[in-house]
Amino acid sequence: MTALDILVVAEHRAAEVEPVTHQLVALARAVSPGARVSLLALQGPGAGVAAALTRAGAHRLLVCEHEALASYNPEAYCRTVEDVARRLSPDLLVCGHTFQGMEVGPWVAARLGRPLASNCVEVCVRDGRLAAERLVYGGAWQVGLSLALPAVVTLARRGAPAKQEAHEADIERVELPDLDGLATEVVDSIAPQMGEGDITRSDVVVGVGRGIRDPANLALIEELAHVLGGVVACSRPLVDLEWMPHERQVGASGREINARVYLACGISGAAQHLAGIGGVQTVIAINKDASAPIFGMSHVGVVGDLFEVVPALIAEARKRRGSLVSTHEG
Amino acid sequence: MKAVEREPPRARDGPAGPAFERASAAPIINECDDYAIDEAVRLKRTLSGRVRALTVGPLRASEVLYQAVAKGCDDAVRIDCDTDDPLTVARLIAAYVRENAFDLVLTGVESRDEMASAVAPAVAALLDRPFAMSVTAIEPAEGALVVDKEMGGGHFQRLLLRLPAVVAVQSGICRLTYAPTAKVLQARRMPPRSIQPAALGVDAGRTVLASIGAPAKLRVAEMLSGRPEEVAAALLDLIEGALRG
Repeated sequence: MTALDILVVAEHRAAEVEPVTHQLVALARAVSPGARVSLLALQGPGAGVAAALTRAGAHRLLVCEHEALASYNPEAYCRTVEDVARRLSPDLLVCGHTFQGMEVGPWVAARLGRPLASNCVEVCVRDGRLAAERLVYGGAWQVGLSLALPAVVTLARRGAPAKQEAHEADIERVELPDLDGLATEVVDSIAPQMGEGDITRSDVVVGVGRGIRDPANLALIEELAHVLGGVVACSRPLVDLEWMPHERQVGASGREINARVYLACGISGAAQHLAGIGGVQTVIAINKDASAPIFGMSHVGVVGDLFEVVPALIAEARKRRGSLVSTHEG
Repeated sequence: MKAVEREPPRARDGPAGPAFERASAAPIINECDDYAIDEAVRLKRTLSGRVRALTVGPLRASEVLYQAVAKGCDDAVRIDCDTDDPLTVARLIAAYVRENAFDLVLTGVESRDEMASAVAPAVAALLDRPFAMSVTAIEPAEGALVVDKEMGGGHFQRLLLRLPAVVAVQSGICRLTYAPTAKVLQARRMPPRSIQPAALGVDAGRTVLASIGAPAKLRVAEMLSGRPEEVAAALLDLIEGALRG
């Protein structure tokens, strides 16, 4: 079989290339030996081509420039990627399973009538077919799919960011589809609001999830964070329940944290939460359920009742207080 | 909206390869779709109009339609197809929507079983309509909707989508309501209309799974056990070590 032709869709926010772009290129190169990887960058006119894109490890960089592509517009991005994929007909279209890619990938698959495997944790080409692994049932199971090529995949972010390559990709400008008369308009882009206790800047983060059972019990977690010199963060359900503000949420739709210690209390570990703790040095999980996915991402785990372990931790920390060095930044 | 199992099912080797066993307990509404139903009913009260609940699933999926009607949907339709393939679901929904003029197709951003997040963008693609996913707020505007869409890392985008449109909401977009038992019982007396895929001109297929297994663990955690005080002392040693390190 001839070398596989793979098209990867780059992501950026304003002028910054998102790190997921490098991970996608690295994963695309590993899909099949000798695969030829093209990276597609959609951007506003006159933005210049970022070195982060030319050195992402792709063989060529395809650049589409248009006013409507200056910031992410689902319709403009979907139509452009669809048009490029239709003309280039790659064996595989790769998007991140991100807030952009989860829209673009399925759109293109549906428009082009191609098989789709979304939110994959692993992909490779075997015997001329795409073997894709994905998590289902909240991460309780992993299933393998076999798809005919050409196909479309969206890849879940996992692992460390890929390094930049010394090799510079050839740059090609790409023709655009007609983007006049879009039915979608970007009204505003809203940057994160950060109140007191920035969870992205603390060395110790104590995360709390549904296992806390009642908002009145949050005081226990706050006390633990206080004695450890850290801040309290949470998983998505607590924000949905309005028990915690959105800026405290760790995960794909919240913040990614880089703490030295993350202590997850009563958090089962949905994939969307785990996406936010990849950069933590030491992950400790306390959960009653021994099969909770959080343990698969933890360095140290305790299968137990947080209402027994957390008070014991507070008491022990109080006892040792003074010997614990707080290295709280900011 | 989608009917999902309460708990992750057991796996078994079937004649057509590995498969998941069907639970005996009645399915429940997928969480994000539950929010979509409540948001649809909220919009109906603001704008007037009608809301139809639609699911693609076997007979037992009717359960979630009863809940939707009890929550305030005007009526309900089930497309009689037992598939786990998001593109097949999207083709069925798109074909149904094409035959019926809806201003808005509202759904949840992800199902807790398949976790594919693929139905909404594929429906929008097949209908060639504007769409947005991970939506946390919807406000009606003249012939359009203004929606807030999550972009990750605490970033949001405010988009204007001209109607007709497709919107997939995040959990938490509104307060979840409770379907009163009396209304669920009332809804059960009016079974939802059922439509066959063939009537929509869609050839329905299922995904053939090559394998089912335990998820690959990124890490193997060192597990601590003992009395809470012992565990606490060990954890604090570890935390102090990590902070010194």
